Amino acid sequence: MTAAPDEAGQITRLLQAHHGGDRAAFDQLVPLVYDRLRRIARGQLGRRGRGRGHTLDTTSLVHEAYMELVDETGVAWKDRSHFFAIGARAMRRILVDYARERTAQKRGGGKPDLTLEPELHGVEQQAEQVLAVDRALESLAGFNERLARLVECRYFAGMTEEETAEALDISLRTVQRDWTRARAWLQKELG
Amino acid sequence: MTFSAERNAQIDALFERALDHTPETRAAFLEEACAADPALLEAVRQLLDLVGEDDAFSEAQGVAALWDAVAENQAAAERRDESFGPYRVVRELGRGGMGAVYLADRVDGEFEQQVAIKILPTPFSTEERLRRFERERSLLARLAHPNIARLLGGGRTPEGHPYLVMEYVQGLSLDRYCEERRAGLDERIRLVLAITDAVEFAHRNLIVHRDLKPSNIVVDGEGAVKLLDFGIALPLAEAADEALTKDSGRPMTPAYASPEQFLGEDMTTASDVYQLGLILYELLTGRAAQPSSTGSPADWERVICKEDPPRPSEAAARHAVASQWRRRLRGDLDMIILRALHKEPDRRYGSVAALAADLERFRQGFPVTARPDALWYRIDRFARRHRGLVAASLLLGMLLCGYAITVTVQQRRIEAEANRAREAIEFLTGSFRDFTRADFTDRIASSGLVTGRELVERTADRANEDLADQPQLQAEVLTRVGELYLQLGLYDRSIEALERALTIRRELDPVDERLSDTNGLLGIALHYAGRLHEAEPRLRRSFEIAVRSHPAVSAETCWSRRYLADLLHSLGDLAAAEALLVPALESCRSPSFHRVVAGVLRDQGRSSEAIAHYRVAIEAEDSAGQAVGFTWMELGYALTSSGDLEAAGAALERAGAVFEQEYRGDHPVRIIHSRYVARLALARGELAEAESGLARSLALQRRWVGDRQHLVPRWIVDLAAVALAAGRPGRALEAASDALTRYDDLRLSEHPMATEALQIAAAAELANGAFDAAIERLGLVIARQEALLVADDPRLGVSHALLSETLRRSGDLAGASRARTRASEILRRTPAALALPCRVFGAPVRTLAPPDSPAACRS
Repeated sequence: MTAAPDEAGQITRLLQAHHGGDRAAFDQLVPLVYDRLRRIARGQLGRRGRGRGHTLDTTSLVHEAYMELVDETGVAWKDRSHFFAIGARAMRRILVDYARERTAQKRGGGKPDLTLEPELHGVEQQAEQVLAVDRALESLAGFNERLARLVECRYFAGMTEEETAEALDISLRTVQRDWTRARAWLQKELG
Repeated sequence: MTFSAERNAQIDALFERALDHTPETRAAFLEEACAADPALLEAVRQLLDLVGEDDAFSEAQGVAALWDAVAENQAAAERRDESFGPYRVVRELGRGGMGAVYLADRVDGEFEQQVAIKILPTPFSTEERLRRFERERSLLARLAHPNIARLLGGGRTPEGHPYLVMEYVQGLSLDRYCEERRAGLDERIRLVLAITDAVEFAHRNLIVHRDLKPSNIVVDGEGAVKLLDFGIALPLAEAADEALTKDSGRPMTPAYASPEQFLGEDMTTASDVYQLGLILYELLTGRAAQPSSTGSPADWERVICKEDPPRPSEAAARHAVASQWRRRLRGDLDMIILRALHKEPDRRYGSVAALAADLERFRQGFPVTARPDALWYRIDRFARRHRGLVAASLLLGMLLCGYAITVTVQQRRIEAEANRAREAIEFLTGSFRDFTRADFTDRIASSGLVTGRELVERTADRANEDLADQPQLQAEVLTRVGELYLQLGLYDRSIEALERALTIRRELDPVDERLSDTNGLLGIALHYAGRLHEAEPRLRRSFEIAVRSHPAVSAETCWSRRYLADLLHSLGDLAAAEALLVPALESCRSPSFHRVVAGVLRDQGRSSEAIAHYRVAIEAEDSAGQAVGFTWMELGYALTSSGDLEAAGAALERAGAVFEQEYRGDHPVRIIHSRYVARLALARGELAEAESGLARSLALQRRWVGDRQHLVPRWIVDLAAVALAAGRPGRALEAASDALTRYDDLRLSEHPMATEALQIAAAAELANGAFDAAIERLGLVIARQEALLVADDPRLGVSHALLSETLRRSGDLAGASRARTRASEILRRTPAALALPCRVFGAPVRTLAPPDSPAACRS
C-alpha cells in the first residue's frame, strides 16, 4: 500500500520545510504519521499472527510508514532521518493515548478479565509506565528538549543508538552520553 | 524535589560535565563547582547515583506488548465498518484474550434482530481445523434451551478470522445482578439452579461449557438466566492454539479455572461441576473462591490446585451482605459447595444433576447427600476453627454417622477408626466445658441448624445404641441432641432425649454440676411444649445447682435465671419474674436477658421501660442473627400496644426478614410472628387480614405443638378481639369463653391473657345486653388488673370505661359517673396507646378517649 499522491506530496513538502528550519512543520507532520502508524501496526498484526515471541517490531513500523508516506524522489537523505524523529513523536502520542484510554476504562468500570496470557499482564504494566514516562518527559523537555526527543526515539520508537543518532542528527557518542543522562533524570522523576 | 526549569537546566549542565570526569576527579570537581551552592551539589549527586542502575529502560522493546494492544484496538475500530453476512456491526461490546465481541443489527430486511458477534483474533491455519470448527458450530447451533443463549451462525471475515453470531442477551452479569438487586440467599440459589439446569441439558447433548464464570452468565430484567458462550470455549481455544506456542498455554480465566484446566489436562463435565462450585461459592459468600494475591502463575497454582478455600460460612462472615445468611451456609451448604470444589474431579458430584438435586434438597429442608468424605480430616479442620456448641454437635452427628458407616463398611479398620472416633468425641466434648452460660441460648438460637434433622435423629439413635458402655459420653451426646431438637422446634423429641440424659447423669453422679445444664434444657423444652408446670421444677433445679456453685448474682447464673424468669412470665407471675431478673441486671447484660426483662415490664403496662430494654438488646446484638429477630418481634408487639403502629410495622418487618433468612418452613417462631403481625393489622383496623392471619397461624401452631399448648389460647383471645371489633359479640363471647376454659385447664386462670379474655367477654356481654354478667366479670378484671398492672395502663382504663357504660345502661347513673371519671383519668395519660382498645372495644372507649388520641378513636 502506498499513500495517495497528494498525501505523499504534502508530507514530502512538510519534510522539506522542516529541513529548511521550519519548526512548525514538525508539529504538522506528527498527526499525519500518527494515523498511518496505527494502520501499519494493525496490518503487521494480521501478517504475523498473535502469540508469544511474535511481538511487533517497533522499528519496522516507522520504516514502513516512511515507505508508504514519503515520496522518496526529491527527499534528501537527511529528511529521511528526520522523518524517524517525527515518527517517534507520533508513536509516543499513540501509546500515551491508548494507555490513557485503557487505564480510564479500567477505573471507569467492570473489573478487567484477568487472563493468564503474559502479554495482557505486560500491557497493563506497560500502559502505566508509558503514562509515567510521558509525564516525566514533559518536565525533561522543559529544560532539555534534546534529551526528551532522544527518549522518544529510544523508548517509544525502540530505535537503536545508531538510528537515534541519525534521526536526531547527533553523534553516536552524544546519543550514548545523553541516554545515560536521560535515564538518570527519568529514574529521578519516576522514583 | 521539583525545581524550576532554569534550576533543572543548571543541574543538568553540571551533571553533564560531571559525567565527563572520571570517578576519581569527579568529587573534587563538584566540590569546587558547587562551593557556594550545597543544594546544587546534592541534586547532581543524586542523579549521579542513579546512573548505571538497572532501570525499566535497560530492556529494549519495553513497549512491545502495548503496541500489540494498540494494533488490536485499531483492528476493532476498522471492523466497525464491516458487515458479517446479513449483520452490520453497531458497536463493540467488549474484548478479551479470546477476541472481541460486537453488537450487530440484522440488515437484510428479513426481520429485526440484534445479535452479538464474536470475532476470534486468529485465522485458521489449516482447512482441517476450519472444518472441525464448522462441525462444532453446527452442533452448538442445535443446542436450544431457554437458559442458553443460542448460537445463530458464523463464518469467516475476509482476512480469515473466524466469527460466531450469537443471540444477544441484555441484562446484567450474574454477580452484578445479585449485587444490584441485593438478592437474598434463596434468590441466589434459584439462579444457580437455573444455570445447573442449562448445563445439565448441554451435558446430555455431550457439550461441555468449559468456561463458566459470572461474566458468562447474564440475568435479564425479569430474573431469567442465560448462559453465554456455551461450548465455544473449546473451538475458541483451538483457534487460539493456532498462534500460541506450546509453553504459553491456552488463554483462560484463572479465577474460574478448574485444577485440571490449569494443568492442561482433559476437561469433562466434572470441570463444569467445579466451575459451578466456584460460582456458588462467590455468589453465596461474596468472595472469590480462588483469589490470587500476586497473580503469578505459582500463586494461581497454589489457589487452584493445592489449597481448599475457607468454608463458605466462614468466608461469608467477612462480607456485609453474605454475612446475613452465613448461618444458613453452615453445615449443608458448606458441604455441597466444598464437594463441588473438590480438587480431584472424581470426588466431586458425579454430575451437574447431582449437584442441583442437593441444592434442591437443601432448599426444601431435606438432608443433603454431600456427606463428608475424608471425615477425619474435615473434623479436625472444622473443629479447630469452630469451638461453638452447635458446630460441635453437628460434628458429633457427622462423626457418629461416619462411625457407623466405618463399622459396617470397613470391617478391617474398625478398631483404629473407633479409637479415633473416641478421641474426636473427647476433643469435642472437652470443648463443651468452656461454655459460658450467658450466651447459651443465643448460640442455640443462632446456630441456624434448621436442616439436618435426620442427622440429629441418627445421632440420637447411635448415642442410644453404640454408646451404652460409655454413659458419661452418652449423656453428653444426648444432651446435645436434646438441644438440637429444641432448636429445631421438635419439643417432644427434645424432652425424650433430655430425660434420658438426665436419668443417666443422675445415676452417675447426683451432684454433677452438668445436671444444671441438662435440667435447664429439659425445663426449656417442657416450657415450649406447653407443659409449664412440669417445666418449673426443672428450671428451679437448674437455677439451684448453678447458684450452689456460683454466687447467686453472677454471670454464671444468668442463663438459668433467665429461663426460670421466662417461665414465670409464661405462668403469668410477672412479679416473681421481675424479682428474679432485676437484681441481676448488673451481671447479666446479654441481649436476651434484656429481652426477657422487657417482656415482663411490657406485660405490666410499663411500655416505655420495656421499649428501652428492647433497644438496648437490639444494639448489643449481632445484627442478623435469630436472637435479634426475636427482639425485633417482641418490640413490634410492645409498639403495637403503645400505639406506635408505624414503628411496630417496621420492627415486625425486620423480624420477618431475619426469620426469612434463618428458618425454613413453619418454624414455631415464625408462627408467633404471624400472630403479632395479625394483631398489628387489628390495631390498624384491617379486620379481615387480622382474622385470616390469626386463623392460618393458629392452625399451624396447633399442628406444631398440639392443641393443649399454653400459647394456643392467646390466638383465641386475639380472635375474640377481632370478632368484637367486627361487631360480632356472640362470636367474641364464644371465643373468649373457649380461651378462659383453656386457661383454667392449663392452671393459668390468672394469666394476664386470661384477664384480657375476661375483659373481652365482659364487653361482649355488654353488647348483648347481659349487664349483670358484664358487671361481675368487670369486677374481677379490675381487681386483677389493679394487682398486676401499673396504675395508668390503658387496659385498666378500658375496664372502667366498659363498667361505666354497663352501669349507665343498667340504670346506675351515679356508679356510671364515678367509673367514667376514673376511666377518663387513666385514658388521658396514654392517648397513643388507645389505638388497639378503640378498635376492639369501640364506642365505650371512643367516647372517653381524649382529643389527642389516634384516628381509631374517632368514630
